[in-house]
Formats: sequence, C-alpha cells, structure tokens
Amino acid sequence: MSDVVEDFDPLFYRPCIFPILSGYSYGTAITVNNGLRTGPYATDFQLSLSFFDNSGKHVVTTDVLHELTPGDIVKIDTRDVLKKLKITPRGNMLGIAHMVPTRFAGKELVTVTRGELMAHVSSSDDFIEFRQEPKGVITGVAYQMGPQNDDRFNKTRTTLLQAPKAIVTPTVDTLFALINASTSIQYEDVAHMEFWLVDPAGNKVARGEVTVPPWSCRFVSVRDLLVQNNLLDEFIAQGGLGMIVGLSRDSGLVPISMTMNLETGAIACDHTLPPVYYFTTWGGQRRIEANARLYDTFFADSAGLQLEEVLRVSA
Amino acid sequence: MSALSTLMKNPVAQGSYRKLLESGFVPRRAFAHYFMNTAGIRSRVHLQNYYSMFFPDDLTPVDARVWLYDSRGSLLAHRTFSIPAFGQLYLEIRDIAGEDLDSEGMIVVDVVPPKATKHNLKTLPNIQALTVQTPFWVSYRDDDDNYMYVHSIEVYRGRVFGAVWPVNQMLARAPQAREPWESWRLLDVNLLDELQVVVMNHSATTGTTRVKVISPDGGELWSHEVTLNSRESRRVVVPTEKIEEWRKTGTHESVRVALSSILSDNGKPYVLLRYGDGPLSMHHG
Repeated sequence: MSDVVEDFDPLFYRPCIFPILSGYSYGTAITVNNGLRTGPYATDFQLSLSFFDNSGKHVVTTDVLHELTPGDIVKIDTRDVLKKLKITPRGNMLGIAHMVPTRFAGKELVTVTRGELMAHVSSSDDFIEFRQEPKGVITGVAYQMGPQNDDRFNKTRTTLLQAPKAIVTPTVDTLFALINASTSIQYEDVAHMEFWLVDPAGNKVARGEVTVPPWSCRFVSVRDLLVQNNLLDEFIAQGGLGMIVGLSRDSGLVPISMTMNLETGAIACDHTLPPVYYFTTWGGQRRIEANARLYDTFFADSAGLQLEEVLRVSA
Repeated sequence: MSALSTLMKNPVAQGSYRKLLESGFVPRRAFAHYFMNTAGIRSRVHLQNYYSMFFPDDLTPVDARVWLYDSRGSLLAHRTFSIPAFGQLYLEIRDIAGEDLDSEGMIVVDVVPPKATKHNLKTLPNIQALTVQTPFWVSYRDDDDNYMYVHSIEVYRGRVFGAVWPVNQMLARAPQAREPWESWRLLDVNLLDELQVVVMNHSATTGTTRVKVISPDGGELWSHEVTLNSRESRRVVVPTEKIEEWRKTGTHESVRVALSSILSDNGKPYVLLRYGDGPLSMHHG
C-alpha cells in the first residue's frame, strides 16, 4: 500500500469528531490542539467547525475560527458557536473541528501521506467535555481519531465493541454513543451494529440492533434495552452490572460509553479500547477471520430472535 | 548492550526465539491502574474475558491475577479470580483485600491465557513483535451513585510474564523514557473548586517529578515535587487558595496540568476535578 493518498479532502487532515449532547441537555465544549510541535510534518493549522443535525444532514461549515501554530491549544464551547450561527440544536448533533494546514487553505482536494496524518493523530489527544454548569457537572473524555470508513485507509470496515461498563441502578443508566464518520462531508454509508447485553457469568441477557446514519451519533441505552425486555428490576437486583458485546460488519464506528446519573447529571465517560490494546499486533486477515468466527459463534445463532431497535434519540 | 540483546541479533538465536513464541511463550504485560477507596469514593475493577472475543473457538474461563498495593507501594493483597467465557469481573476492594479498606494506590491485573489459546497465539500477525496486554477499567463512585471511570493507560514496567525467563527479565529492565508531559485539556478556572493530580510510578526504579499547573501557553503557575519508588502513588491536591488566587486575579481563564517528567513510557497521571460544587470527575492525562 502506497504511503501517498491523492484526492484527499484537507478538512479531514486532522479532525476532531464529537457528539453534541444537546438532546440530553448538556453543553459540549472541546479542547483541541496543534500537538505536533517539531519535525517535518509540524505545520500551522486553520480551524473551522462543521455541524450535522440529528439525522446526519450537514448543517454548516464555518469560516476559519482560529489559527493554531505548532503547540497551540484552544477551547471552544459549541453553544457559543451555534448561538452565533443562530442554530438551535434539536436532538443530538454531531460536530467536527477541522484542523487544516495553512498551505491547503482554499483547496478542495490535496495529496497527503499516511505518515503525516498518523504523525498528527498520534501526537495529541482532544478533550470533549459535557457540561451542565448549574449542577456543577463538567466531565469529559480524551481521544484521538484517525481516518474512518475510507477504503484508502481501512481495508475492511468492522467494529468490535466489548465494554464491561454497562452499569444500571435505580438512578443510573449507561449509554453507548456510536459515531459514524468518514473523510468526506459527502459520505453516505449507513452503519449497523448488532449487540448483546451479557451478564457477569457470560450469559446473554438481551439483544439489540442499532442503525447509525452517516455523520450522526446514535445512543444505545442499556436501561431502555432492559425495560423493553422487562428485565430492568431483575438486572438491577442481580447487581446491575454487565457488558455490551457489539459487532458491526459494515462500518468502523467510534464507541464512547457514558454512565449517567439521571438525577444529578454526573457522567462517567470513556472510549472503549481497540483490539491492539490487548494484542499489540492485532489486525489484517486475522482480524477479519476472528470477527467472522465471533459472528458465527456468538451472534448468528440468535438471528431468528425478534430484534429490538434500541435507539434513544431525544427531541 | 546486554549479552542477551546481542544474542537476539543472531539469526540462529532469532529462529529459536521464534519457535518459543510459536509455542506460546509470548511476553505479557500487566496493566496497572489507580484505585481510590477513601475520601467518600469507592472503586471497582471492571474486566472482561477478552480471549472469548479474539479466540471465539476456544471458549474457556481465564484466570485473572490481581495485586493491590497501597500508596507506599506495599502489597495489600494478591488474589486470583476465574472469569467465564464472555464473562466479566466486577471487583470491589473488599473482594480483593477481604475487607473494605480505607486506602488508595495501585492495582495490577494480569490475565493468564487459557492453555489451548496460548498455543494459538501463533496465529496472530507478526508474532515477533507481539505483546499480550491486560487493559481494564476502574470505576469510582460516591454515595450518591455519581460515577467516574477511566481505562488503564500504562502497564507495570517492572515485571513481564509469559515469555521465557531471560526475555521477561530483559524486557522488565528496559529503561524508561521519562519525558516531560503536558495535558492537552484546558480547565476552566472560574468554576473550578478542586484539582487533584494522581501520579504513579509504573517503573521498576525510583523517580522524581514535579506536578505542575501551567497556563495555556506553558508558564508555570504552581508546582509540587514528588519522589516515588516503584509502585508508589501520590494524590497531589492543588491548594484551593491557589485556585482562588488565579480566579481573583483573572490572569488565566484556564489552566493545564503538567509533569516535569512522567516516570515511565506512558505513565501519565489521572486528574480529579470538582466544578461548581458538583460531583467529582476524572480523566487520564
């Protein structure tokens, strides 16, 4: 595979893609940076923002809002930007901070190398904050995001979600946010994920499917899944702890778990861990084969069950 | 360069080592995380049998070995737990130590691969570069069920499992980079009530670092030096008077956390925050 990628949209040279929890009454702020201070790929960035509505429809891409020299850092409250743009958030929107090298300003397509994209991705974490100031809730998660759902970078599109963080109590729910993103605003591939809630003994508790339109974020509520299966009280009585095992065979989804106190608004928030955290050389054909076997052994035997669409989308 | 490192460059030695790897003797590193079971916070380990996901043809239980160290690096408890296929472990501190200790420190988890799977590790790509790791989460909650959780971000560098003894030893003695580190998160001073930074020494040797609060452009506003032996941890509380001072002078709307050096390759701190009299929140550096 060549290191050179042609016809690349520079808006996705160093993106930060994040859910905006307006549907859950949280403000969303981001801290982004130009973390690559030195070396051949260090460069000045121009920062602009894009917003997508709850259905994944592109709403706007702003003009340049900030200039970032190497080492610069900036915090942006999306509420301020949306207010200036006179956009009232409805449901849960999706945002992108585009950091575009100054040399690419005004260009629609450019030639880049994988090496330079990866150098920028690996040099910095972006912080996404969810805020309910009157309740003193400001929490968040840091992550890096490389190119998603682009055949030039990803030979296959699969996502394995294994998150032992499904915590449900009388006042707590756990949501799994799933982001379907790519490297072009024209991206239009719908993503699907099948998932099971599994108890600590490894028993399947409840099954669901979720469809994530392009450029959108969908939330799987463990509480809603249990309610729909009349299992909420039983699950809580048994400890209220479990794991979501999910598999998408058509998309690289970005999962973020959020354990939310429904009274105080507090959120525990973290991304899940990609397979290379467990086996450092994981990937390639071995990954494709293992996911296929996992599907056959864990998911396919229950294909006859009635599927529950577990989407929790606030108006 | 050690004699062993030199030997590993020899083609015959490399071939023999590859055969050992293919027999299942692959290096395995245990992630080490922070637990806090004090000051109104309770911690719980969240860990799954991930072998079920990656080797779905070998659905067997695995053993998870758990070590609990207090903030001075002293061993509090060591226990082994079995996790069923596709199962999970949710361990309170009392499950590990036998009592609900008022303590905080380092928790280390090593998941032992099942016998059948160990021999199948050779099916993974590029086995000579393979390391098996055991990441997990710790959740933290207060009495009102306000949760925080963070994934482990660094392995305990001083011990390696899984490979043959000399390789384990060589990897466990690898020097650590100990680079300067600055957080990429801007913390709002105006609403900030509490700021605490948890520093841990994941390496095998003693280290000294300065915990710093810096301005967005890197200027030092406050610092505190800590020296930590292997496996020690320290929760450094930034004085509330300093936060109040930054707020009153209004010179900095936001601050960042930094360390003069992390004590191991990825030994970034955990940061605890309280805003506007609300619940605590935590993130990794």
